[in-house]
Amino acid sequence: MKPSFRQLLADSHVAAIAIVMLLVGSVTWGLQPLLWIPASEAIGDWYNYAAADFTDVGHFFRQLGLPYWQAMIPFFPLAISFGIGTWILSHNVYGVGPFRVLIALREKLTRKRDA
Amino acid sequence: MLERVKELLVESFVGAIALGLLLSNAIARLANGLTLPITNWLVRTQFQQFTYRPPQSFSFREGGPELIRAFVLFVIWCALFYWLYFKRVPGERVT
Repeated sequence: MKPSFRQLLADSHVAAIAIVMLLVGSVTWGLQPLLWIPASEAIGDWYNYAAADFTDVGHFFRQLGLPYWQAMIPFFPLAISFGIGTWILSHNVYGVGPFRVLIALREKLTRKRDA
Repeated sequence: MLERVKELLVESFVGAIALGLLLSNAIARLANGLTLPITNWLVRTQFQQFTYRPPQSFSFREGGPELIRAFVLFVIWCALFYWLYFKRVPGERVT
């Protein structure tokens, strides 16, 4: 009996890899305005001002006001849409959420290695 | 020879990884194509105060190129997935 399309997607791990990549993309786009951009701006400022012994910590976070968050708003729809894509793919192929899929696959691979 | 290449791609998981990346790229472009009109509209609204142009309306056509890219990537993915995993010798295991 020929396996179904969903069964093949699951057995070949193609869907699992796609889920991982989409999860990484979702986290990346979500964390960029929350973590990466403020941190890189602060590090850049510190590098420029360290030579002048400029140690006012508040100065390094001055850019995190309302204009900054307004400029970062476009990042979030993309992060959310990646997350929704991940969820739809994992539910369609495996019937459960993406994190459960990855945990189950990890357990399966660990069992296979130990056997 | 093509059968041998196919067998190698499946057994080494290179095919699965490549197809997984291609599928994630297609889904990502689909998501981008759907959100691009929204993000462009948000950016235009934010910077409206700095321009003297009249406000532009929301347009789904801005996501068109990304949606076309997503469709093309998905077609390529389907063709490769069919070739690698559907057209198998009876009795051959997928993994």
